[in-house]
Amino acid sequence: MQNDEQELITSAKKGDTEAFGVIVERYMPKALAFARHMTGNTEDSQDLAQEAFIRAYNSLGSFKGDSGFYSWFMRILYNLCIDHLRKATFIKKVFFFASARDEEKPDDDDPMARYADPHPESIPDGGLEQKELKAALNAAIIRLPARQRAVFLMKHNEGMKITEIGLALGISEGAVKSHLVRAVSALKKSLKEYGSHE
Amino acid sequence: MNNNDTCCKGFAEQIILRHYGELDDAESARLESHIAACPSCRAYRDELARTLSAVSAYVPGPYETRRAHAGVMARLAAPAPAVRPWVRRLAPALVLAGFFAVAVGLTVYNPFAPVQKPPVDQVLMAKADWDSIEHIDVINDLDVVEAMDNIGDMDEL
Repeated sequence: MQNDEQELITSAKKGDTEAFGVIVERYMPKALAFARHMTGNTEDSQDLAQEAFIRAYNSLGSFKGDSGFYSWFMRILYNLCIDHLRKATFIKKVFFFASARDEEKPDDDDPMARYADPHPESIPDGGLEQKELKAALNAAIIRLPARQRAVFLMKHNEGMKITEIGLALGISEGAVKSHLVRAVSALKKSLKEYGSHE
Repeated sequence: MNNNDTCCKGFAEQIILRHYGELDDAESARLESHIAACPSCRAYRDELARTLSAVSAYVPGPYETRRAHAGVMARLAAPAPAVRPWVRRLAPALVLAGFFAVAVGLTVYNPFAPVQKPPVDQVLMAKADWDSIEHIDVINDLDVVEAMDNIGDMDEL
């Protein structure tokens, strides 16, 4: 797959959009999921994922292949997500509509059930409780600081290595580990609070 | 829900990294030997595993994925947009600057602000004062002053 990807990138660098389309098809679900978790909004995640792929295509000339394409692409997507969150926060602060933290709440019309197991019927016992638990956890992920959230998503959902995450976010491995530990500890704490409310 | 939110100092990070397979063999072995002898760290590890197993990734639907893919391919197929002249690139900033200028101008000088009119009784009093001033006969008033013989009084003072 790695050689296949290298060939696709080489073709795409020469202007072969069909080859790049294969890469887009391969990584689009992950990009959408990451942007969705980062912004908490489905429409924004569509825009951000598409924009990230367009920018990646336009910048393919600067991709040297030192890191994997996915790490390189995730850096573009992460930066776009951070820019988007900053702009949204600035606009909300200027117009006093809501506090900055409200921006990171998910859509009302897009309940956390969207995050839940794609086959909820496969949970025979305590299905509802399990769904509520997952919703509470995903709400807690949305509340994490952006960088901690990105590190956690890249590690937990994408299964990226610490070194890859460091390359994608432009931070040291030690910083990645620190963010990961803080994020997991925060999730654990929020789950404990959820349990105490039950 | 257990109350296992604490473990031995320094081991929380190790347990989390171990969960994600980010500890080397030597560190893993050291951690395992500690956990075997430490009930609180063992409980912390088990609780952590339960928590993280409940975290599920958002899975975009097939329609959502196809729409996004089609959007990218359509934009790649479209001709590259010409470089916009600097005025158009700066247009949002210029509009914003204009908006602030108008806002500041309206704050300093507001032509739409209601004119403060004095109450009617004050106007009538002022008019009466003005009429009396207009009708002062200076020559007569000087005669009155002379007749009052105020000079003598002034000397006494």
